[in-house]
This record gives sequence, structure tokens and C-alpha cells, in this order.
Amino acid sequence: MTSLFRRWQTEEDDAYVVSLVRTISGVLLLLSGLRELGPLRSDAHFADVFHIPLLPEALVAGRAVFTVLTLAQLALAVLVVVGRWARPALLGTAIIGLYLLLCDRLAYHNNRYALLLFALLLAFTPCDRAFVVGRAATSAKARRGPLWAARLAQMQMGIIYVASGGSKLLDADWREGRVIGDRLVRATSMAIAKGVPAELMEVLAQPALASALAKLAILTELFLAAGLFLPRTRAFALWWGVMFHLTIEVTSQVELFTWLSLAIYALFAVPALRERAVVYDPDSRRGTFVARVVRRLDWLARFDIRADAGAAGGRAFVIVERDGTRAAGILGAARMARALPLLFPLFLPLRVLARAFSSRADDARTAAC
Amino acid sequence: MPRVLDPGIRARTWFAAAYVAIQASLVLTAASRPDGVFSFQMFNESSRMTIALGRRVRTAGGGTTLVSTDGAWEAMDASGAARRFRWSDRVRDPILSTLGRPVHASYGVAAQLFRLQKALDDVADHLQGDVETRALVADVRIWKNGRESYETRLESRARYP
Repeated sequence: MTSLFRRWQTEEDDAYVVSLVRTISGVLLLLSGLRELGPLRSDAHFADVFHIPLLPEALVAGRAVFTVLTLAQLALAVLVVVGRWARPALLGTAIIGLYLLLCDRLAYHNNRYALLLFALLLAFTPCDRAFVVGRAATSAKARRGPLWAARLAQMQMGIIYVASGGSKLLDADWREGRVIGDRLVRATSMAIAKGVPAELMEVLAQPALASALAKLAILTELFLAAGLFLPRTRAFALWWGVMFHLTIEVTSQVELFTWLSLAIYALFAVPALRERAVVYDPDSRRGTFVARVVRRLDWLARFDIRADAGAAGGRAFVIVERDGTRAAGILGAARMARALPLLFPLFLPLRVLARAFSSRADDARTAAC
Repeated sequence: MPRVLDPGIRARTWFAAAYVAIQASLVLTAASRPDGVFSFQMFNESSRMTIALGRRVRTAGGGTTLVSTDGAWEAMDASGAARRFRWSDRVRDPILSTLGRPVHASYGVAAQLFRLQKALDDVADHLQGDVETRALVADVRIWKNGRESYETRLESRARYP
């Protein structure tokens, strides 16, 4: 535990991934800032009508101050996106945003608060070492920096899962499935009106199913709070978390929270780059296609891409892992999907498929013996 | 780069400890805040509610009676001239400004009742020119997590007590 703590205090590594997370967070801050322009167009400023400040009323931003701060937030978000003065800009936008949240708790939303917390924490990371507009790519050595605050951002994600899952676990209505059940029942008439078979909706609205879904949601959040931090469970936790957040995105309105969560998930990737390799046969159409796909989708710079028919060993492509193990075919595709954000949802299905084929091949070999 | 963003080992340890302590205390004290702000209680309820607004006005006999309103009403000012008032002039929140039809009680019933009580007090405090309304009253029908509905009444601070 002590060595883990020491490592957290002193860890330095490549800041490429955290810089990518900064860029995405900047876009989210920009979108969030643009939403704040809505109230500016309103005839009444929030402080001039009913509001519930957490600060003393005298400290609540009037229309002029609110306008200046909102425009400042937008300008700072642009700096965060382009990477120029990104870290002070992150700190500034977080402070302004938190101040405005304290001005009116009617405007409070968990996802907005979370975005500001992550902006605050990213300000303490070396997130300006890559993805800087107008600056040439820097060397791996120049990108190195302390990642203690990135680990704190990971922990913040865990706190969110513990808080959300824990509060549901302590709530009998949630545990018993009443909350999810009621949502499903109310969605039933809407779904049937949109053409979903009534029989299917009847099954989904069963209390037993609602109860099971509620327990699954609670277990999911509590599992993610721990599973993301354990090397053995991390890949599965990330996959399960991606599915969880995408499901929430299509069934509920959570503003930017899905994309924020998925961006923060990137911080759970190993900071070092290109520790894996895709070796492909340049004469194989499939091999060159795979290489092209990886080049386009390898946003986290996981792969070193090499054209080498000999090293591919007669395969169209081979994935070489950090430990030197090689995989081709479906298992290779699964390992590739595991490292490419856009294909990540396919990682587990492909892995299961690869295992099924492998065990079938084993069965066939045993039968032949 | 401001030095504050690159703290030394001791400072970053203190920062992290303070950060985690603040976050943990905000989560653990969620129950003390009716709307659970800063505590990440996501999708905590599926409850709905309908707000029916009324005004408590004085009767000729010296008592008071409740007059329902759709959110807009006319009342006399001190000079005897009729003036028009609207709930939505001050209450812009999409949930609290919806009267007479069910709305999702975002962040839960407790959160919305807490906000509604504050809204009633706020509007009652800002009815300059309405010398008739003694208090604003909200009869709230609540469907908590799909259960049978029940009704509760909230009343603003008394005007001209």
C-alpha cells in the first residue's frame, strides 16, 4: 500500500492520453458554455427572478457579471480545446463554473458539476503536452509529466459510482425495482404508440424484471467503482461501463455525462504509447485494410504498425501484445478492438467468439485423437 | 505556467487529501440537503407531481378562503386599481412553473417540495401591489415511484400577518 502511495505521488509518464482527454473535455466545456448562452437571451436574469443561492445573496452574479463570466468560460473552453494556456484555462473555467453553480441550485445538475470537477483536476495534469494547435508534435520525453492528478480524476470517477450505486443500494424503492419499474411502465404506452410490440413491453414491465434490472444497475455501479482500478478486471469493467453509459444515453437525458464518462475512461489506459504492434502482410488485401483501420482509429496511440509479411507468419495480420504474445484471426481482432476506442464495444463479443471457436477447435482435436 | 498547477509532492498530497475529504463529506451528507446537490445521486426517483396553485384571500367575515388560480390572477393594489400577477413572472424553473399537469419530479419529491416551498415564499415576498393575497398555497399531488398518489399542501409565509 505504501509503495502504491509513493508511486501515486511520484509517477511520471507520457501525457499523450491525458492531453487527448483535455481536448475532449474542452469540447464538452464549450458545448456546456454554449448552453449557458440560452439564459443570456432570456428577458429575465436568473438572479432577478426566483432562484436559490448557496452563497449569500450579495455574492450572486448579476446580469452583467454573469454575461462576462459566461463569455469568459466560452473563451477559456476554446483555449482548452486548442491546448494554448490550457491548464490555467481549465482551472479558470472550473472556478467560474463552480461559482455559478453556487449562485443558483436550481441550475445544479450532477453532470455539469462532474464536468467542472474533472476540469479542475485536469488543470493539475500535464495535459498541454500534446494536441496543441500550431505546435509540432513533441517527443515522448518532452511529453512526460506527473500524473498524480490524472489518478485523482480516476478516483473521482470511482466516487461518482460509489455515491450513485450506494445511494440506490440504501434506497428500498431502488433495490426492489420500484424506480426502474415505474420508468418502464410509463415508457410502455409511449413505446407501444411508437410501434414496439405490446407483448415485448409487457415482459419488460414485469415487476420481477424491473427488480432484476435494478439490482443489476446497482451492482454495475458498485462493480465499476472497484473493477476499473484492478488490473485483472479493468478491461471488462471498461467494456461493461461503456455499455452501461451508452444504454443510459439512449434511454435517458443526461446532457454530456455519457461522453464525459467515456472520455475519463481513457485515463484508465496505460499512459505509455505504442507498446503493442500490428504486424501485417502488405500483399494481403485484408492485412492492408486492417492496417488502414488501425491507423485511423488508434486515437490512444496503442499500436506500432509494421508491414512485414515474414513476421506476420502467413497471416493477413497479427497483433503483438506488450508481453510479446501474438494473436491472429478472431482473437487478433478482439485484441485490436480492445485498444481502439471506436471498436471497443466489439471487444468482448469478439473475445467470446474467439474463445468459442478455440474450444470448438480443441474439441475437434480431442475427438481426432 | 502558474506554479500552483505544478505543486510539489507534499502539496499534491495535501491537495488530494483535501479533495477526497471534501468529496466524501459531500456524498456522506447528501441526506442533509433535500435536493442532494453535490452528491451524485443519479436517477434517484421516478416520481411525478402535479402542482395546483391557490391564493389565500380575506373574506368579508374577517377570515380567509382559498381561491384557486391557473397561475395568473388579478388583485387590487392599495389605490383600488386592478393589477395582474403571474406565477411565471418570477418562477421560470420548468418543473415549478408547470401548473395543473403531472411533471417528472427531477431529483426526487423532497427536492421539488423544498424548491416549491422556497418558490412560494419568494413569490409571496414579491407581490408588490397585491393587497388581497394573504398567502400562496400549493396543493401538490405526488406519485412517488409509481405508488398510489397522495396530496400534500405547502403554504408561503403569511403576507400582512
